[in-house]
Amino acid sequence: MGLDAQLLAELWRECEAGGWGLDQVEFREILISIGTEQNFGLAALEIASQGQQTEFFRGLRLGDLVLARACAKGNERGWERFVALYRQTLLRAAIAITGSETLGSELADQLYAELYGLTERDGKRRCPLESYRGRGSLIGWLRTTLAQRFVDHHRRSHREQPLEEFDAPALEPEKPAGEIWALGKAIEEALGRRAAEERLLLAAYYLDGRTLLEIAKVLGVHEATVSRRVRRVTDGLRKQVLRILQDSGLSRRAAEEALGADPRDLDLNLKKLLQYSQTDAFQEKAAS
Amino acid sequence: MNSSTQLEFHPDAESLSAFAERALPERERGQIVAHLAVCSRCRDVIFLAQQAVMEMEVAAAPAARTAWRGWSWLSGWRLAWIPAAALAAVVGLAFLVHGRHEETGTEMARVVPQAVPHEDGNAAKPAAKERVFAKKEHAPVSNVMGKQPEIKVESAPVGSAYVPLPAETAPLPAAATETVTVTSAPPLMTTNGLIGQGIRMNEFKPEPMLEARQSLGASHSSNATVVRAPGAKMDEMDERSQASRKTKAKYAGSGGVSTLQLKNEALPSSGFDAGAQMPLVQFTAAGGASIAPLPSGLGAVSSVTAANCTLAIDQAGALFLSRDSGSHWESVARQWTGRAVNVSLLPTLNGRSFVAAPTRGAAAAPTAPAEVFELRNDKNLTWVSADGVIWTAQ
Repeated sequence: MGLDAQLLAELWRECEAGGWGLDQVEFREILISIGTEQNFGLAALEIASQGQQTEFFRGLRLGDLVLARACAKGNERGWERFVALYRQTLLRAAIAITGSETLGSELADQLYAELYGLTERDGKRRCPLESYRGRGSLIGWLRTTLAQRFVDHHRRSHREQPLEEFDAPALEPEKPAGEIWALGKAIEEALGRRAAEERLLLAAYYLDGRTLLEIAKVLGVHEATVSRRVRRVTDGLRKQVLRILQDSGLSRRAAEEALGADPRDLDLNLKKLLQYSQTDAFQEKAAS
Repeated sequence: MNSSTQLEFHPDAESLSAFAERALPERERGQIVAHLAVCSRCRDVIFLAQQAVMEMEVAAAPAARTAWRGWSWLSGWRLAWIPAAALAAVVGLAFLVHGRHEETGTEMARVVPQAVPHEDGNAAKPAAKERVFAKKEHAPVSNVMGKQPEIKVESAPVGSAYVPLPAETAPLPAAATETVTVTSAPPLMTTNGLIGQGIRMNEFKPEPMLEARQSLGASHSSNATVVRAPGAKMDEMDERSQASRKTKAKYAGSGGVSTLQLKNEALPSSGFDAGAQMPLVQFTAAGGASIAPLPSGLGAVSSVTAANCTLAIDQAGALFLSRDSGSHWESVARQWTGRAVNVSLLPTLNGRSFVAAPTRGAAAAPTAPAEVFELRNDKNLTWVSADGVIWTAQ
């Protein structure tokens, strides 16, 4: 892959990579590595045109990228800049994530030490900043990294504790097993037909108990929009389950009885099914 | 997931971060959403990271709010600044006006006993113990019993209420002391008359019956208060003081008629002592009854006489000059702005004081010829003139 020399020089000058100890050759290698790895933002087998490549490179946060790479290289001036910009922000983010000043400080210090390259793998100093590719902001990457560390640590340390939701009986014993099985299959099928974003809405809202505001922030939409979508998805899901039940041979009355007259019953079932579907669908391979 | 195309792996931190920042292409975004729909771990990560953003925003908000709160507090009082500024302006104006009055009005009028006894000889009777204080100021007592009063108008520094008298006005024996102090700043007017700004009449001897008459159109009042000595007959003074109080309410605050013709007359005893002929110091404004009608046909609101030069302002604000004690008048060309309301003598000229002697007798001539006329308009601006014809703004 070739990178236009004029574009390279222009990008190199714009992000002041020279100030961080990166010459144009190093800068070119970094850009080509990132572009190749991401296939310039295209699907796996697509071949990026020159324009697409240029668009991809221009979409990167090159300022943050060269700073991260300079720090990864051990550039002292880069680290001074990094500390000035992100040290306190990192600490505050860690405290916000953990909800504890002590845990937050510990988490931030741990990540900071890791970023500084105090950890080695195969005898080679490794810096997580090398994995930053400039597609989002560096501070966003730092926050997400902190959250990953915290979640993984929490999951490891709480893995053996029983979850109440799992302990609670999922099925009502008085209902016939056939209807329950049919209901489960219908809900699973209905969930499978929903779009990924709708499933994310349902999981975040019902399973994780996230607020509409939190979901709205993540999806980048208004809170009211999330509320309307959740209602629409729930209504659509209920109708779809009824239709699936009827398609499976149940009468409408029997299908409604199976679904339950109380909509809250449907919510509970939905939560459980989402939880199960998650564990069934993916193997958790923690990045750490 | 280290490779965004493999959903069986978790998205890496950068992909999740870029997803939250909406920096991913649509294809990759869809993959992340699909993963998030089924992966509670990555949902936790992305919601926690987002929560950190929100909490940091909330933490930053109070600081911004605090910074803005100062302006908010200020803006809450923003409307209050308007009346406050207006009040400050009024107070400043009042100080300015008051300062001007004090500057030009700290004259002191004294009734100094003369060596010649009063014509009717009744003046030698013991004086009733009466004191008239203006603004409750106590004047030094001088004994002028049996002597003709000599009225001097002296300039005094601002704020010096009582200036030590010269040697020729040394206090007389205290037995017949009668002190009348009328101090006013702004201008003082006694019962019917107006005494110029800040003029204080001090030490009337013997038994002076103060009557200041005003034939001027402007209504003024006096801050003078009358304090009676025990046992004195004060019927007449009561009436006068009451009238003075009544006129007090009418005081308009502007400069009043200043220069007076001071007369010392003997009046029938209707006042302090039954049957006694009391010397009367009669303050008569030059524009009063003694002034012939002005050419404009309007009454004079202010007049002043000095060195055979009489100036009078009529009710329309026109200034007239007479060099023959008011027999003939000539109009003075308007050289000031606004409406002239007051003409007076400046108390000082180049730091010198002058004394306006009584109009009667050989001592009537001013002892210091440095008369400078001062004209004041309705906006309290002043002009000065040495001859009454050419006026210069001050």
